[in-house]
Amino acid sequence: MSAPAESPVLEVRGLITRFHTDRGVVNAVNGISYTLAPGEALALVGESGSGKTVAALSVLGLVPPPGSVEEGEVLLHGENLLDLPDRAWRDVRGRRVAMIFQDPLTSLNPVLTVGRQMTEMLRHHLDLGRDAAERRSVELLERVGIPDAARRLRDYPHQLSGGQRQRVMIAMALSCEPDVLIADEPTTALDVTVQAQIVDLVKELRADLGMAVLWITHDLAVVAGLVDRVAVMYAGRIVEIAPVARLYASPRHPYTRGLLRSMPAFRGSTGSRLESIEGAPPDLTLTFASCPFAPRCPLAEDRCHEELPPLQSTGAGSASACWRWGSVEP
Amino acid sequence: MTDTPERVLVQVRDLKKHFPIRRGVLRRQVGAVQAVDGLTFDIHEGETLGLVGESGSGKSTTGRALLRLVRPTAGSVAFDGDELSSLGAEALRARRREMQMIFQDPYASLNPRMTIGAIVREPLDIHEIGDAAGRDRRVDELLERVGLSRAARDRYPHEFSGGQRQRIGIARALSTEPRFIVADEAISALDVSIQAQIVNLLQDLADELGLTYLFIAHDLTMVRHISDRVAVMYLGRIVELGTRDDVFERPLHPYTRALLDAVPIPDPTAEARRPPALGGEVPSPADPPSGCRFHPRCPLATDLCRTKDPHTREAGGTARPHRVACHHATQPE
Ligand SMILES: Nc1ncnc2c1ncn2[C@@H]1O[C@H](COP(=O)(O)OP(=O)(O)OP(=O)(O)O)[C@@H](O)[C@H]1O
Ligand SMILES: Nc1ncnc2c1ncn2[C@@H]1O[C@H](COP(=O)(O)OP(=O)(O)OP(=O)(O)O)[C@@H](O)[C@H]1O
Ligand code: SF4
Ligand SMILES: [Mg+2]
Ligand SMILES: [Mg+2]
Repeated sequence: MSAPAESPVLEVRGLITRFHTDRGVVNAVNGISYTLAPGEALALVGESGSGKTVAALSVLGLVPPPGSVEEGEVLLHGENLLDLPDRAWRDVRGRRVAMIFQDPLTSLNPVLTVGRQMTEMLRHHLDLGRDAAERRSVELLERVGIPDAARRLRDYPHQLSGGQRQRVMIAMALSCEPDVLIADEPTTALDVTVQAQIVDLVKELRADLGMAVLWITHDLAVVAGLVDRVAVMYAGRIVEIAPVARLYASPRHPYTRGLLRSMPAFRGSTGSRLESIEGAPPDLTLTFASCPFAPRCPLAEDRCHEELPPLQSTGAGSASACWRWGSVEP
Repeated sequence: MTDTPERVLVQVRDLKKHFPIRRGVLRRQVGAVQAVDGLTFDIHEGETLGLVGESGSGKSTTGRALLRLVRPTAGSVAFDGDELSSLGAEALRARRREMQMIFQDPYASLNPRMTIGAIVREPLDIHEIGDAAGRDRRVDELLERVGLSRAARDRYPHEFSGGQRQRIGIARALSTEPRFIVADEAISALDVSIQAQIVNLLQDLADELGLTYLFIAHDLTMVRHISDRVAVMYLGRIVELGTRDDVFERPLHPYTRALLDAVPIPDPTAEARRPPALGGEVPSPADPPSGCRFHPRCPLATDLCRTKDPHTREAGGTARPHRVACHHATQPE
């Protein structure tokens, strides 16, 4: 696992990303920082709209207008990507940092066959000839468990099932053996057996190539066996970060606890109502001078409504942005 | 639930959907993807039938064929006694109001040039439900029910996160007060807390309005939570169907057992002990294996399995029939 001395592949510092819409400024990412060591995997979890996708797009310089990264640094092997000229970005994206997009339409062109898209990418980044690129494409599709891979290369994206499309995107992202893989909800459309297969494949590449992984998900169960650490996002901030076993066993933020408790435990829960976190996620056009979770928090006290809790160490490589982290029950 | 006489709302008989594979400049047909290959089952009024199975096994195609969003290759689907293939365009349109789909892909299914308000309102306009003020009120109410603010009305899909878009799709599907909803991976893009809210909402609607669902999902924990009965698909066929408890606690088909074994456990130490993922290659639906379609990956397979396609048979069942298509399915000890 990550030895502290090892220099990180990716270091994100104080990232702030906003959208300037005609309805006001949406504060999607509010100063997040994390590092990824070679071969390390970090999960980014959090409720819908908490800024996970925007945080990932920010790393790759892909935030769409009217949004932009307004502050912070994204260091890949120490080099700040946010300073790169546009041309240099093209070699970073796909080749050194690859992303599996949550939105399949961002990465698959509906009017080109799957094979054409895969081979072009391989030829561009790895300088392969046509035949070699095609062989490699078939091999990759087989590794993500797509039957009849050679025939599939001739299919258009709409001829694939949801899970097959998702696996084509995974194969494309892995094809150039990137230093960092950013996977945005990569397995939502996949059944458990295929999920397990993909998780095993990613584990293998981590071990073999030292590929670092940022795995964005809302599914805490899937990442349990894959990642070293988990960062929990709420309203554009990381509110808790901890090694995976510790986070599950003793969450140090009431929001993390709420997330864990809204999972239907596999045995037992049938028919009854699921526990959910009461209240709505905060309006991101607001800026917070107090704890953003306070209105929904069962532990909130006066201070929570008055002062913004900073992310502070809770020991053992963990941190929480909660004034009352010591009182959070497992 | 079990003591009221049961009314069949959706009756499916020997349903098939094959997609042609074409080659060459003349686009000659050289084969077919047997996406759905002979399904027979009923969905009762007020029940939630879960549909699970591997990626590519034909779940979405089944859902689409039930609503006639794709034309079946063979077989019949009757909704509340009306055979859909025999309905004219106008009658089908009227029926459509009662059958809605929540689509798997929240990106492709929302028109990027329409505001959220217009998207949710569109079915009300198409089916001429209520007056203008009534439709506006209904839109506000629906957005609130799926946990989106009223301010969302005037915004466009690209301004929303994946999970937010999925909820817009759900609000739209609910707008016409349908009787039957095909929910195709309706909650898989949502985080757990909102999943819980949406599942509770779907269950409340079932209780209040007697809604019937076909709930397609790969997340077995959710299927177990929400379904009355569960059907398991493999390569275009239903291999097992029974009550939730029968299927989850007394699975008969070796494929169902493999699926249950692969369920991730939300505990990192248990995760390390998880049995390996179901081995073997997923066969192609364009060229399914002989005999039992599962035989190349099945731990119980014998010569019989390699040559003879197993019939669906009844194998007990506690409250309802428990059906399985396997030569060797037995109760686990
Ligand atoms: N183009 C845009 N214009 C305005 N607001 C946007 C835009 N894109 C995203 N947002 C807002 O930024 C916030 C964060 O969105 P993001 O997509 O990062 O959420 P997420 O955590 O990935 O959620 P999900 O789990 O649902 O995918 C949301 O409130 C969203 O409405
Ligand atoms: N329009 C189409 N043309 C050709 N083949 C198709 C088409 N739509 C689906 N298929 C094929 O039919 C099979 C079943 O697809 P379907 O989308 O029903 O699977 P699914 O069970 O919903 O999978 P997933 O869990 O990945 O969404 C797949 O092999 C798919 O490639
Ligand atoms: S700081 Fe206060 S309001 Fe915020 S999470 Fe902790 S206890 Fe709850
Ligand atoms: Mg997202
Ligand atoms: Mg599908």
